Amino acid sequence: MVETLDLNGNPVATLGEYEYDGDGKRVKKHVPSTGEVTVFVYDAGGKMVGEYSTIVETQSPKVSYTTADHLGSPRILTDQNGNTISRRDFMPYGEEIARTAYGSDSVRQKFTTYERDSETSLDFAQARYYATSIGRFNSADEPFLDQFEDNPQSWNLYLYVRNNPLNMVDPMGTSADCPPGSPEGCYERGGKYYIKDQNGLESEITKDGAIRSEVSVASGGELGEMQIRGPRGPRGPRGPRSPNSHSGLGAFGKWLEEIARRLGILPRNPPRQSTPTPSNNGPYGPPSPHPATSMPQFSPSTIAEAVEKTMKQKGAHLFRNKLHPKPHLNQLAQQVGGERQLVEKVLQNINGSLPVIGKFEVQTTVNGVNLTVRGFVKDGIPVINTMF
Amino acid sequence: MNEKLIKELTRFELHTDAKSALELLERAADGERTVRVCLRVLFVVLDALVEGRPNDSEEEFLARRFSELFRNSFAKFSQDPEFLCFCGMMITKAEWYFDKEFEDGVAMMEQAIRLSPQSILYRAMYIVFSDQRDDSNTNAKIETLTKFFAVYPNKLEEFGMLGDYVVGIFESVLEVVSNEEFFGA
Repeated sequence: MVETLDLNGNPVATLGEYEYDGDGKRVKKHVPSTGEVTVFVYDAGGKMVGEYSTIVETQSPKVSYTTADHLGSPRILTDQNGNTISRRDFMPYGEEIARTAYGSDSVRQKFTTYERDSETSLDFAQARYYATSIGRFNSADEPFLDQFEDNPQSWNLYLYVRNNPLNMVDPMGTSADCPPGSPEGCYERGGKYYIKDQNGLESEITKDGAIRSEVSVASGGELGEMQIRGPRGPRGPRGPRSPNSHSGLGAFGKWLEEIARRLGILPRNPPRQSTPTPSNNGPYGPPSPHPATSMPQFSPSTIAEAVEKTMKQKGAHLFRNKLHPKPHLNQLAQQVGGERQLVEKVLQNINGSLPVIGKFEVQTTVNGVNLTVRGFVKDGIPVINTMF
Repeated sequence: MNEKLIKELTRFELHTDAKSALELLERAADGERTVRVCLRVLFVVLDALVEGRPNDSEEEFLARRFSELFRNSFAKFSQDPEFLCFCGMMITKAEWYFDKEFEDGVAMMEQAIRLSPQSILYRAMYIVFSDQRDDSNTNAKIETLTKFFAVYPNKLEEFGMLGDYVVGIFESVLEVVSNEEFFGA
């Protein structure tokens, strides 16, 4: 229940009453001032799939489409003919910028798809409520779950995405996360984004989308070794652990290693130093099959559209071509659950490495298989033409 | 038709030798530049561009020559259903080399059917390439492709590599959609 209080702390009015299920999901909302009761329905996976309200707008049903920005915030609403119905802009922390000329709509999803409760002006962030006016959650985060020694911004339990709202989201109100559409496997730690390749090697994704450095986790179990390799440099074989392997992460690396040893993740006694293995591939080894990893340029809905378009327009050319049989593609498709899923996976992988318009040829890796992907981007939608 | 020219073209097809195929067409007499020869050369070049590994200068050269050949052929054979249908299919493969849209390719196949409504080949190509998702038009694909293989036992041999490509896709599509239809695979 959300109430307004007088100066003595006595309730004056009830703004809203909320009911939650055993998992903490909001299942019902009552707004006394309007009498509106809204019931929220979730699927088995916990995703909200519907809302039922006692107050239904009197308008003729129509189809409309939302276009989201990189954070998932719906920014433009268009009709079935592509005409703009409304637009909206947000301040960095989610306050909506009122612009009357932008038109109006009744879309409840606002900043990073949080549903805004008009009765409280708070955004419902699942685990907590978020106040865009102050850029803070109205209750504390659970301590020690999303806090990091090396990032003071994570120490304040009320902060929204560690004061980095242009680059991160917090869909569940529990932890700062990569924005929607980030490369698959992207995760956040200590205020930075990382991805791991098939060898478990970790690469940091910088704010501008480039790989600035790679933090390698030794196969022998050492943590904390850092190798700075310049922007988007190719990946080489792992070298031996240097005697001062903590030089990159300093005290935090030592602390992390000690914790890992105590938890039994690492052996108690550090492995012996090994001799460097000579390589004919230069200092960084053979060129990486990966494309330059960068932040996604296409939203999840665009990727879904791209998958459909690719399957409709190129599906037979891609997967039924007996003149140039590609058994590895068929095997990969089986591994990932089907051809459509493979196309989706590839598009997600290369999202961020494609031109705005025109032909492209990029390389990516799916389940350890290197793929060269050719296609084109037109009208903002990438279509895969061939893979080998 | 010049047997020697066809033999040479077949050899270039086997090696996906796009440059030699283009030169062969240049050397050919007017009477030898039939719809089918033009289509086969177009496909050799397209295949080299799409599935091959040309470097930048080779790609630039092939793409330019391909575009010229397509424009000239289209001006000559724009009312020929065979040309329209096979070119339409090729456009669905890589429309940007034709400076066309996917929908233009589909429209050309539709036009071929209008010009030759009895052709089971054109119907089969239209139904397979206009919507290439396995789960679309499943029954129509099974019916049309089954008829096609009954009517064309030689499997488009006269079209060389282009015919192999089309028939290979037909076989593969029929196999997949039949499995899905009957076994829900």
